[in-house]
Amino acid sequence: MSDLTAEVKNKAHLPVSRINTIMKSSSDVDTVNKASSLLMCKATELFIRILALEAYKNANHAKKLDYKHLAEVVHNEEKYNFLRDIMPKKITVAEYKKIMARKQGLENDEKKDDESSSSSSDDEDDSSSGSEDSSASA
Amino acid sequence: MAEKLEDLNLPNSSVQKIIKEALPDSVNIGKDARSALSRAASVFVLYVTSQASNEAQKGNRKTLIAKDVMTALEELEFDNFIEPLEEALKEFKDSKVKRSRAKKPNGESVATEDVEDQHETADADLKDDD
Repeated sequence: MSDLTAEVKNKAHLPVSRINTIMKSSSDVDTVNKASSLLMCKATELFIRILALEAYKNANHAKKLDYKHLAEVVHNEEKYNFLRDIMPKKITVAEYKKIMARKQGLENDEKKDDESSSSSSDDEDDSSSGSEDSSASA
Repeated sequence: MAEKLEDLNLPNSSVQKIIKEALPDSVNIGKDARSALSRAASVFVLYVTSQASNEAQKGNRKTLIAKDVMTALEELEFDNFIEPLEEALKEFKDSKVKRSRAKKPNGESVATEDVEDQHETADADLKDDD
């Protein structure tokens, strides 16, 4: 922990004014005092450092830090839950197709199940996949 | 204020420097990794700010103070940030006290009040830690 303390001092910095701008852009904040934006600035620097380091460890000390290493950490650690939307895991086209195929399979199953009680409130995904099916069979 | 959307991004060069310092010298940083980290940092600020503003609301305050940020970090599972940040905060306060003493020997009332207020919150922080 003491090396973290050392890292806070005398290193590259983020501009406090920019941090201040970002904080104030939040709708539920009126004003922020100077100490809190300075603190937030330091916290953000630490955040970048720690996330980069964790990703690097996760990368088995490869020569290059890549997006996928970051995404991996973000998706494995609960405290980074808030980043999952902006850092989705990259997948290959083959994987994407597999997922979509499985999804469509599930949807088709569901349709068979409630065909009799086909509710009009079903989302558009269903209907569009349904139309695709019919065009394919036609 | 935030007039352009870019105003909510952090400067790439600073982010790059910070990452470089954190990692061993030999490591390269992918461009997408850097921009992702930069975006993540912006979101982090908003995430913590929103939690901190809840704290301020609980205390019936309209202004975010340092203690709100500390409590927010603790609640969001970034407790390991607290210790190094306490140091930074202390340094900031010390320099502020010095400055207000040096600059305003007479019209001190507002400045010292402010400082005292913050010292109180720092004391409260310390008590929380015990």
